[in-house]
Amino acid sequence: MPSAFAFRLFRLRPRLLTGLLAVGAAGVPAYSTDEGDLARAWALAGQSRFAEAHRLLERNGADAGAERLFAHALVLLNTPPTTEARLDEAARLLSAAAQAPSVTGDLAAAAAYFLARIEGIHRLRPDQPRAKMLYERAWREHSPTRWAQLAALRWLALHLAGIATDEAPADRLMAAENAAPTFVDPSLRKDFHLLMAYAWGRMQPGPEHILDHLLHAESLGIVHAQTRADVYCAIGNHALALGRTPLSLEFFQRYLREFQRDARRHHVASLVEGLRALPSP
Amino acid sequence: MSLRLPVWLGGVALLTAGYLASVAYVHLRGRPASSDSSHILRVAHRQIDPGMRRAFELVAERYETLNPGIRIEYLDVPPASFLAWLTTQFTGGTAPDIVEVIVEMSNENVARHFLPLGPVAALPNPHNRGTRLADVPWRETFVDGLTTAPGFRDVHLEIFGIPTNLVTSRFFYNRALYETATGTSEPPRTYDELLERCRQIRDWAVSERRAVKPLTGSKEIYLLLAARVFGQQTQQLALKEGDPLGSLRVSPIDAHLWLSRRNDALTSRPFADSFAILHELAAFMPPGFMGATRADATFQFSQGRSVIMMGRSAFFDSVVQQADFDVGVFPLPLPGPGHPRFGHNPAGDLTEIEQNASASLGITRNARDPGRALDFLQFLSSATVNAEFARHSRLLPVIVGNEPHDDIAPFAPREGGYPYGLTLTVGDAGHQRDAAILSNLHVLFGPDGSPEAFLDQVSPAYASASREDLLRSIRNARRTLARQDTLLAALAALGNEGADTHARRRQQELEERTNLEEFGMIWAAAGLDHP
Repeated sequence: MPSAFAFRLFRLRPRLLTGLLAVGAAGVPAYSTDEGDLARAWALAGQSRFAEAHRLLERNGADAGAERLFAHALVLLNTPPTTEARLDEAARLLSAAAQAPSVTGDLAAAAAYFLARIEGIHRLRPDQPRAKMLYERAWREHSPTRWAQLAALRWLALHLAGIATDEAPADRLMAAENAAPTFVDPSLRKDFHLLMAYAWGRMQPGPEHILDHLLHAESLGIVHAQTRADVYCAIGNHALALGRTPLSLEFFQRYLREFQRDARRHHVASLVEGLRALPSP
Repeated sequence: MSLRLPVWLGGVALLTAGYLASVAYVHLRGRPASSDSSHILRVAHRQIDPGMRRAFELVAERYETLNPGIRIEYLDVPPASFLAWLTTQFTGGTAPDIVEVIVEMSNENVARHFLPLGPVAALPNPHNRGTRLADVPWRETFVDGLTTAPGFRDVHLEIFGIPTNLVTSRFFYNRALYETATGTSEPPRTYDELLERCRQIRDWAVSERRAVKPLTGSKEIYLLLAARVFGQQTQQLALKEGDPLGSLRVSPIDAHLWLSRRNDALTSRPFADSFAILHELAAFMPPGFMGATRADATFQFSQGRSVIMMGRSAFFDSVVQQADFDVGVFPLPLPGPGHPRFGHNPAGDLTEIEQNASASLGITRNARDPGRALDFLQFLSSATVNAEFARHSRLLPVIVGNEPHDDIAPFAPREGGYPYGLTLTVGDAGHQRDAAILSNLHVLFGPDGSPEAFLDQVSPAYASASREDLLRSIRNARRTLARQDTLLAALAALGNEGADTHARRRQQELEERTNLEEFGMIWAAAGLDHP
């Protein structure tokens, strides 16, 4: 039915198509209010048109609300030329947004998270130990917001990689495992399991832990197609190594059904053929 | 004096007229499309091969017949000047309605100048009505699912261009000359047969005193060959040492990590064998072939001064047009797992199932009628029109289920086989590793060259070059992550509004991807002094 509807719709093309493109292109009609500017700025930033978004927001009045200050800081981070002075200004705006009377708990958490991002990702010479400290602060002070959980995920990545810690790899892995209850948002819980699967793979390769985390991640729903293909193949591969033939077959077959044009198809198909040829237990 | 005044006045009048004409042109050019049904859709691309031009003209004729009053105007710009030309057009606000999206354009510029097509690509293509693809979302009607560059930009997880064909590589050969020199019309099916045929051609040329080489060479041909040789010879290595997740393929960051952390990378067997294969093949090419361009190589082949030439499917039509002999095509026979000398490293043949789609067209933000431009792109990429387009251009079709025409059938992507392993040389000008190799290839391919001498020469510089490449890759990853921060915040804000489902979907995908990429980047940087 959707196609019939679409065809009826497209009878009016190409004028209608212009409208459809506009949804993806500009998204928001022109308002004259501050709120309208903000919506338009987010729409532009959503298309990576940061300089245009910045031009809309740079006329901040003294009474600018928390969200406007936050949005301005975010587009400033990527408005060329990205200089240290601009990054400092973005940090100042984030701090101002966090202290503005109109700030919500969620926005304060986001501001704290992006203050850490400035130090860890945006600076010309990133300061990872400082970023780790700021992620931890955002995590502890703004829990259980989603932004705090995202900060926790970033903290774990730095910790697992051995940034600002003397812990041995096995202890780092255990510390990360213990952080599992932090992730109550299903999407971030899935990302935690994906991160842990990679961490075990890089630090202490062995199929059990990797498989366990991948199965958890998969049960929560993997959105990005390439990641999903990787996870299906890895589950099939590790299950095969552990002798869990039905599980291996299930995920290899799921991969073959869903990914018609992936480079691993032939390899996976030959593994499936081998598994099928095994005598039944 | 009496004569000088009118001349002076004439000059001023001419200048004034020129100025007014320019003002009028710019003014009229900048106006929105008139409500009049008469309309010109301007399309700029860099596909100057005759077959491609022919196919574009055919599509224009069809579209104009179906849409009276609409005219399609193509501007085919030479590839060498396309990017500079495009930059000028964008800067001046005079870019055509539809423009080829090329890989050389930065992600920022693509986002700034082209309309995102993601939302509309999720709907069926109305020009597929009544066909097997009637109910299929537009993006899924393409064999690559619109997930490959240059039309799809990974950084934005957004589609900006619609491809028109697929590209694969094969060996072209001069059938008559091949049969005369080798005594057989059968093309080689294995690597050893290829070497044997090349020897026969070389010996025949010597005995007949003919200036004919078995293989045509150029830098581009070397890069095509090298990517495949390294890709196949490192398949097992990649699975064993470059795949921490066990996902049966190596990620780019893990490939970088492996190459930068192994001081003996180049002398390890998969790489040493790869250089040995390239050395053997290059011995049948003309001396100094690395200085030759594609045009030089095509000229040499079409003049009958070489018998076999490697080339992309996109150039096949051009080669056939230039040659006054029958051109045959056969797949590149590389040493597989059973090969006595080079069979240790490959897992199997290289798959071509993920071959990149090519010649992508996007709608510019200053298109006068974006809806019309989109309608034309949907027409061009409909199942029936793309089949015709492919047939007339001698190119591989890009739409699911469209079979290649007989002429081009030997180029059809091989769907079986295994993924590439660690591709060493991709010809990326900025890569120090590639520079270290390219600048020393004379030691491999020169008159007294050998793989051993080459490896002795390159290995000392290679470890530090790999480290530089890893640093560069970390810096690039960080820049991408920085850009995605603002993008993610924006998509979160738009998704929270509740109406923009496309934004919400992109946010989720981007977040999932960046979490893993950031960990890879941090992990790689953690082992370096100044990441």
